[in-house]
Amino acid sequence: MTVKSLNSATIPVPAQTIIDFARQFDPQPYHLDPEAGANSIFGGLCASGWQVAAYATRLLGEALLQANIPFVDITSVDHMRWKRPTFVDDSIRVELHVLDRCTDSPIPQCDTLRIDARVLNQADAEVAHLMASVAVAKAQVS
Amino acid sequence: MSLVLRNRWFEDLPVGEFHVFGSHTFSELEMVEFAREYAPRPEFTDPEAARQGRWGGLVATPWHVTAMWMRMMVNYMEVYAQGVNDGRRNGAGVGVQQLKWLEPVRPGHTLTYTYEIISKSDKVVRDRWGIIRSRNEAFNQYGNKVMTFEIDILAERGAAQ
Repeated sequence: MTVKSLNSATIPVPAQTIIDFARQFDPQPYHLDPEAGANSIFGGLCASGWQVAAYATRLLGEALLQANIPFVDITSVDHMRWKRPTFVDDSIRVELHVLDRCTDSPIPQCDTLRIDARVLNQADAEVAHLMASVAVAKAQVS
Repeated sequence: MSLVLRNRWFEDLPVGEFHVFGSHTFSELEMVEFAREYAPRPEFTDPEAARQGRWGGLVATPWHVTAMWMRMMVNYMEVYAQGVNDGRRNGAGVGVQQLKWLEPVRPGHTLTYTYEIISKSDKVVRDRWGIIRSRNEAFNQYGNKVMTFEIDILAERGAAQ
């Protein structure tokens, strides 16, 4: 497989989505309440970093599938850095580069792709950066 | 004296400190609800499709397992840092490394989440915050490790004494 660079679709991140995730998984004031967010280190109500990671993985998986690369799931993250907050009504997308492929994976009948993924907002500013491994189904032998 | 994380300053958090944040039992419903938003593919959202799929049943998507770590940590801090309303409870995460999902998590599985401080950086962020690195793990009810990662979290440095 040749090394590929792909752009994902874009997903909007409205207030309700931020608050719904935060209530369930990250109920800290700056992810729940606009005023608390404004007074926090982030300067506004913003999405949990874990929500950003989950959306980024959805977006990169869908980008791979659209390119006919049979994405199964993410299996590890060597490194992830949160660069800036995702505020209410920002939208995010992923630019990804497939770095290499190996014929082993923790998921049976899969190969591993190592992926460099930059999560960008609507101003093309970097929100997060991930170096991740994903499982892709091996070609079917029929 | 309550020796727990966010009612103490950066300087007071010792390398080697270990906490069990708590346990959570994953239900089929919450797994499907999470997947509908973050992994909307039949093998994660449809129990029947999942039964015929590669795991022989529904499994939690990886970030669901990890997001629940965050919830366990926040709950734990709420109990132990009660009444603390200054910077000592406002640390944000800056980055993660060596995150691995090791085994499938199925409906009814109970994960127990642990935290250990493994290092402290000399770096000072915005003249105010230090960085605490911890190793975090989740174990299922059989004692098998299902997830591990390291995370760097900001902790406010104490005012000059």
